[in-house]
Amino acid sequence: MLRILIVEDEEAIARMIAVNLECSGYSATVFHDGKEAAEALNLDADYSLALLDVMLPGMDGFQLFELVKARGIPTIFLTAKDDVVSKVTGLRGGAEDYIVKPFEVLELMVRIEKVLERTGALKKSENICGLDVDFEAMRVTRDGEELHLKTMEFKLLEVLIRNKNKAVSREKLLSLVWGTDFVGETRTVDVHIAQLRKKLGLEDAIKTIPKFGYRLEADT
Amino acid sequence: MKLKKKMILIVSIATAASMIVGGFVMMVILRRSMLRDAYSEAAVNAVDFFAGFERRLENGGKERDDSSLVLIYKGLDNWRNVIFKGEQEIYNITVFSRGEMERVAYRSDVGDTDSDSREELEYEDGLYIVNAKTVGDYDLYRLYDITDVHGRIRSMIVTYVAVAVSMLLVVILVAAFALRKVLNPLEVLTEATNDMARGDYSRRVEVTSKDELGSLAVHFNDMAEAVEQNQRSLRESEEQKTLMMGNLSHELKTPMTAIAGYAETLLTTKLSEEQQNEALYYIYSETNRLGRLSNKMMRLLSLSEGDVVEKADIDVVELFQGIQEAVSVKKKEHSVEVETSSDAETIHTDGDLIRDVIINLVDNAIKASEPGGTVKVAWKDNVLTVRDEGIGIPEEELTAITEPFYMVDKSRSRKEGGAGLGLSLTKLILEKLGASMEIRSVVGEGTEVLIRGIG
Repeated sequence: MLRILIVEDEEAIARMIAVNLECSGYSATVFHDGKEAAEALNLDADYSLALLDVMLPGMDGFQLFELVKARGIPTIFLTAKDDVVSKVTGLRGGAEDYIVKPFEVLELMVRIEKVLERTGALKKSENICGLDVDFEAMRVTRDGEELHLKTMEFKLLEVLIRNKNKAVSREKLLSLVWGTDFVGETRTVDVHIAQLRKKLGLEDAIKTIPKFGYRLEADT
Repeated sequence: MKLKKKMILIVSIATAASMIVGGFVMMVILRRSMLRDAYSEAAVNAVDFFAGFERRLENGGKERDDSSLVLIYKGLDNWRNVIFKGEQEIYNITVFSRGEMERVAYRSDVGDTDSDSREELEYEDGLYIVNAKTVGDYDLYRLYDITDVHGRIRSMIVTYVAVAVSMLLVVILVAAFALRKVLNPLEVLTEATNDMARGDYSRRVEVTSKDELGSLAVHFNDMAEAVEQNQRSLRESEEQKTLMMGNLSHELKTPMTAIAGYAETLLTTKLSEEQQNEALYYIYSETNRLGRLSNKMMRLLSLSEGDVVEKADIDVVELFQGIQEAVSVKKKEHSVEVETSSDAETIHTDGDLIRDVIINLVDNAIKASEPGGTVKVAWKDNVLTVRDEGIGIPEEELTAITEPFYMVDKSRSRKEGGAGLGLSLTKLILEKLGASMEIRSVVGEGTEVLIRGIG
């Protein structure tokens, strides 16, 4: 399980991110104080990603970032300041990304995924609902028997797996799978979901969330 | 410059007018006296002729013969002598007729006194006056040439006009120079005023004299100073407002992120019942935080918009009782006691506003105190003191703590539900009341807030 470090002094926000990460199959460790986080890093720095607030008590996010970077942990800044200066400071310092509060949770999840994908930390395969999914080979097998999926069906499956236990709206699925330039109808998503359910036997696992989208439910 | 031109015009008109009037009077007087001199000389000149003629006539002899008289006077004197005998012209080589001469003639022997308005005879650029006398049968006329006198008068006038004109020029030059000297400060002031109008409020002028213009310069500088100060304080308050708005939107973002994030999570994520309750709890508490923030902001706004201060005699015991009630929950939460004391029965002030101030300060003091601590509120010698034995405030933060949204310990304040607005509210209220606040603090020992000038 990938471990993610969250340093955010606002308890409400830190918990919210942690809950969402846990539901998506990550392990989250939360600190509310910069100094405490720095001290803890000395003992345990085995994180795949760090989410750092810029304004922190004890030690500010940029200072803490230096320590995190030294340990080779990629960083996404959480900032309430949408001023250019702090963005530039963060990115020039080598941060992977930043996200400005208030942010959408799914948006944060997607960015986390992107960073993990870039740094190669993302799982290359997943065992879920009795399926073995190899993201690199784009192959799905059940008990060693390959189940053939079209490219778009596989991509859709990948998005659902990456965001498991989290409902993704049709519009979001459309843009994540087919891309933002794709001029299509959300009906396309429904058709592909139906195919996935049929081909992979996921009728129960892929839940329809009325008026919203779909959620792949699986134990983590 | 207009004023300069106007003043030069006025000065030159005045000078020219006085020169014209003065010159005219002087010329009239001079002319008259010069003519009089000429007339009297003419009279003397004529008397010689008349007396000689008379003598000759009295002496008798052959000289009495008219033709010999002609010879005598022709030879004796020049053509200016004219002799008539009755209607008969004995000797006259002038171009004038007897009638013409008689019309203008001056006869001193018959008491002709009006010598000033004597008429003159004119012939070929020459001007002549005539003196006349009757001696026996003879009428004698003597012409006197005053062309020269008139010429002198004319040249005198020409000289005077030339002198007057050059003097006028000198006056204009001097006036222009002097005016420039005098009005230069005005031009400098005009420039400075223009600069100020264009927004350069730091513009000042040099005070070069002690006259009205100097004092104008001093007043200009005073005005510029006042404008600059006003401008600065406006800009500062504008900046403060902008900063406050920035802080506010920043302060709003945190609860908004949490509320929106939990709502999204509830909507999209499969959560356990426990997790769902947690999400709902955070939405609830963050919403409360927004509410508190909004209340404080409203109060801050209504205060800076200008709530009316209504002073009355406030019963101190009642006031302190009200405060005890207001902070009773907080006291229990933190296990802190609040003690009050007073050396007077009433305070003359605005009860609602001072209540807000004290509650705010006591609230802060409780939050800063350790469990078991005591907060002391005292009204003594017209000074209100709120003292705690809590964590204290670092010296370098003392000036910043009254700024909106400033928090010494952010995470601690947030946990207490603070937004960093309490002390800026207090400061605003005290400004309204005309009171001042002094904060003394030692880290680890406690904080003491002294408020003076409430009453």
